[in-house]
Amino acid sequence: MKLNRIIKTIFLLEFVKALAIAIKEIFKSKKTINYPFEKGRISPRFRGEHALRRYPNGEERCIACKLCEAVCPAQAITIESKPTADGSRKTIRYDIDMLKCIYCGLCEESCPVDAIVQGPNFEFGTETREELYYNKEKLLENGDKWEQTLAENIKADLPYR
Amino acid sequence: MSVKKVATNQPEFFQFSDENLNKAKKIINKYPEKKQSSALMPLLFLVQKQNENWIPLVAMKYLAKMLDIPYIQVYEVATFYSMYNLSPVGKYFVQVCTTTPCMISGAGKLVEVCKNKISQNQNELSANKICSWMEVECLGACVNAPMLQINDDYFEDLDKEKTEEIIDMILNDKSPKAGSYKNRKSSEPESGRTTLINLKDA
Amino acid sequence: MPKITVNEKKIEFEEGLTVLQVCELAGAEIPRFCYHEKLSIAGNCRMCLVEIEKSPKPIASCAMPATDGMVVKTNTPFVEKARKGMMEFLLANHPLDCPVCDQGGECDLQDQSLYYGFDHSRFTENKRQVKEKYMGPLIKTEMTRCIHCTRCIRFATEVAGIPELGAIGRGEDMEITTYLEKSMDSELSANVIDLCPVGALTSKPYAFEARPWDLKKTESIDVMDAVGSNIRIDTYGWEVKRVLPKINEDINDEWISDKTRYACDGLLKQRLDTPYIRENGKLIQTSWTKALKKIVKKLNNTKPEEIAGIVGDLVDMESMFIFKEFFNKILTSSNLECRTKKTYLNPKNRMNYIFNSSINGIEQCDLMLLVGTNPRSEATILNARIRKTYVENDIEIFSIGNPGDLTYPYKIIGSNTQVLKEIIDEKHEISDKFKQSKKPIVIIGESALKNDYGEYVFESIKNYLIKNNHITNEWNALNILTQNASRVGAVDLGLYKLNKKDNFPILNKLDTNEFKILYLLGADELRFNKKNEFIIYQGSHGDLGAQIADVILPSPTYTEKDGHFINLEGRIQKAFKASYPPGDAKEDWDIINQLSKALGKTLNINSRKELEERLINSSSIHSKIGEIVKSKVDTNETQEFSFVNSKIEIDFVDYYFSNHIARSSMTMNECRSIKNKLLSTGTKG
Repeated sequence: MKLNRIIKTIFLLEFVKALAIAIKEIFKSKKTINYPFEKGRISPRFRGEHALRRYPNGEERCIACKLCEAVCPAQAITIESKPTADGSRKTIRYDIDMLKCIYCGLCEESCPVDAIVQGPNFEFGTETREELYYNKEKLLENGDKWEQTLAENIKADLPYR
Repeated sequence: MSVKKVATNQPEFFQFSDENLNKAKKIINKYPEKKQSSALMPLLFLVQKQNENWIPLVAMKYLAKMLDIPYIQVYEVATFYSMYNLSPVGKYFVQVCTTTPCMISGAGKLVEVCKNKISQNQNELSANKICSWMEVECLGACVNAPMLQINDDYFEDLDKEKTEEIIDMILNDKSPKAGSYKNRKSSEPESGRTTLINLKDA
Repeated sequence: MPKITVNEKKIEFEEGLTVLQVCELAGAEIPRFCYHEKLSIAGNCRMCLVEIEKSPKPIASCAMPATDGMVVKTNTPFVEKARKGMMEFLLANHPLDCPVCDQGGECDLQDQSLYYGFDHSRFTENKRQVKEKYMGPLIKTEMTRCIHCTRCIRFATEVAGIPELGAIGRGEDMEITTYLEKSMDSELSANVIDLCPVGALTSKPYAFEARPWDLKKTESIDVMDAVGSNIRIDTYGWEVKRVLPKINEDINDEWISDKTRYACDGLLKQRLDTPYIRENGKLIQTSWTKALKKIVKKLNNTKPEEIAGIVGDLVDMESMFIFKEFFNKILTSSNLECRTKKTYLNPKNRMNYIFNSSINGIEQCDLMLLVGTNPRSEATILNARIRKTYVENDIEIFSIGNPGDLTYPYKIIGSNTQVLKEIIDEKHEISDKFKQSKKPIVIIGESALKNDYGEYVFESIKNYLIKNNHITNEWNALNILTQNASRVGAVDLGLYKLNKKDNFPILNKLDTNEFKILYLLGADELRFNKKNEFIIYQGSHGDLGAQIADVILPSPTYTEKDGHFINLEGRIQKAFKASYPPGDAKEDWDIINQLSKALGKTLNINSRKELEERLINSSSIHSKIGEIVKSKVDTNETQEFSFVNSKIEIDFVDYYFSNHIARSSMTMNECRSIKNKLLSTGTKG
């Protein structure tokens, strides 16, 4: 045991081994990316910025069932509802406090109509706190912006739901 | 089948004829004191007879007042039973049996005839508003299948031609002969009786 | 007593109970939809199936009378399978729209399918679709969700006494509807919403407003009439979203009237949120200090005799107590009145102004005489009790005056004091019935106590009942039907003024404009011609009182403060604060306290708690919350009276508009206009 160690020390075996790895890595492709100009691949289940989706005909999906509000462990969601002119159940207020939110994804999971989703966007830092109190317009705007990706993500995740 | 549709065109007024009023009073008197509301079903039937086979809403109100029961109770009963018609069915109301024995014996042809002669759809008045038809479940004359019922009478042992004849007659407001069209007596075998021959009215 | 075995536990039961009730006694929970304690048994949901020994099939326990020696099992796989099967049938045609359904979260079907149902359905066919039915402005229908338990039909025919609901069609096509989709004409109609175990009948004004888990629940007391129904107030933020009944067998059973339930949107409208001062004929917003300063200036320049205080209909005991202290001790005036109409009052004994037989006691009565009252619109819940008694015991009911449809049959024996005289002189056919009757009830309405003939009506009936031994410590047949939540409490506290000749001196002086300052504590029903009076209105709503006021002091409504109320039976109950008043409004006691301070005097009441303690200690009547403290009957105390021949006319009570909260409510407005046939009652949707 002692002898082994002495040989290792004299011939700098560990050192040589490490050098060999380093040399090997030089010829491999790069692992890092040039963020923010390059971005890594993210899972369809990624839980990023929230969005409220619409149906293809433009109608809001959200039916104000308040399940997301009830399930939210951080109590970040506030919903108020009223019947619309045609008597259907719709929100008049849908607020998410993105500062309270812990991005657990329970809202998305509880939604019976896939209205509230967490999209792939994680770059929504702002200069003031107020900008992170999302209201319904902002969430719907997000939904419109990301709709294609959101729909694809939901489709990709469908077999596992 | 869904809940029976109430006709949109309702008459303004209904009253029993003198004869029917007497009958109604007789029916009501059959029931003990305070249980008169039980007379509702025969009275509804009486209305239907008087009013060309259907019961208008005014008649329901009329009966409710006569028996001193809420309107809704009359309405409930009238919508529950399939033999009360709540929209006009014409003077001649044709019911074609299409349950298994009749179906096997060719009830489909009878339906065909009704479709061609009376109206394309069930529960639809004919062009001259004198009759309508509908498919019904077993009318209990399986031995004489196929058969149809017009108002109170059974027309049995039919085929396509005979049905056409009957329908043509009622469309011209004539009453066809009721009973078996193979000239048998009730449900005796076609070739005559084979047993109990000695008895006259077996 | 017969014995029964439920899940190997032996218990005794009273004869006449059903298996379900006995299982309940034994502590075995049985799911049900159609069965309801207060309604007749229908047995059509089949959810309550249990296994009974020697029976090859499961038995619907709600419709099965329990017999001696039965062996019932409620927790076997056999029962479980039966329940699961039943649940699957019920859900076969029930839509999966829980997320948009208002019943979600408090739905019997939802809960029971979780505990007793399958986790999936084998039903792949199309679900039934039923058109919604119009049932009036209070009930929203979604008949696709209906599971045909017929609770609503049974309620309407049995309890409400309006056989307008029915089930048409049959089998799968059965539909619940009113006759030709007319709106339900009952003051109890909205109770079908609570009864509906699913979301088929939901509340229209509350549609999509909130979820049950969002709401803060406060148990309280209703003030819309003098019955004092127990309620639960559900609030979201400061808004009162809905009012639901709380079970109290002594008062309201499980029901509340539509006004109790739906006037709550009036708590958000027409509210006074800052003090106002009238300047040049216009009301201008102002601050508390300025408003109080103006009042102080006026009060200092007026003699105590020229100041009068009128208490309104919805005022709690605490406010009235401090109001009286304020008048007696600080203003040194005794011009206080709780009556806004000239109705006769004899406050010598407590039994002279309360409903002595008690609401529960109605059920024991065997003869009833209504004198100038329409209990249906004056005290809806009490009317339901009368109907219940009529249905169960088939009692005879007579009326002096024509009250209209009361949902039960009665006989009008006349409509003037002459009939009363005949009864009392034992010349009327009813006199004999009164003699034979063991527990009669006479209900005297406020309409019968009006003006000059009130004294005769009251004192003669009292005398007659005493003479016939119907006023004893065991049974007191004398009943006054007050219409306002604050009345009995106000009389208990002594907020009235009378003298030997004049029963309502303050109201008479008002008519002749003898007062210089009028202090209205939530009084909106006062009808008089204002001349030069300076009117201080302290209340919650911009209603009739505020319109004539010179200074308005905003205060909270009954849902926004703790307070005691005494109902018409003389039962003291506490209402709890569910929400808080808007804007600058202050609690009544606080306002009066500040006003006394501004006058440079003090009442020595520093907190609400102190006030409450002083109120409760002020009289033994007020010490037992929720109970009727019976005072001893004094049959010697009689008063002389002389016959007045007059017609007894029952005043029309505008049911949906009877107080300032109801008048501010949109829902009540709509109900009223429908009732008045201003809107078409035809079909819709």
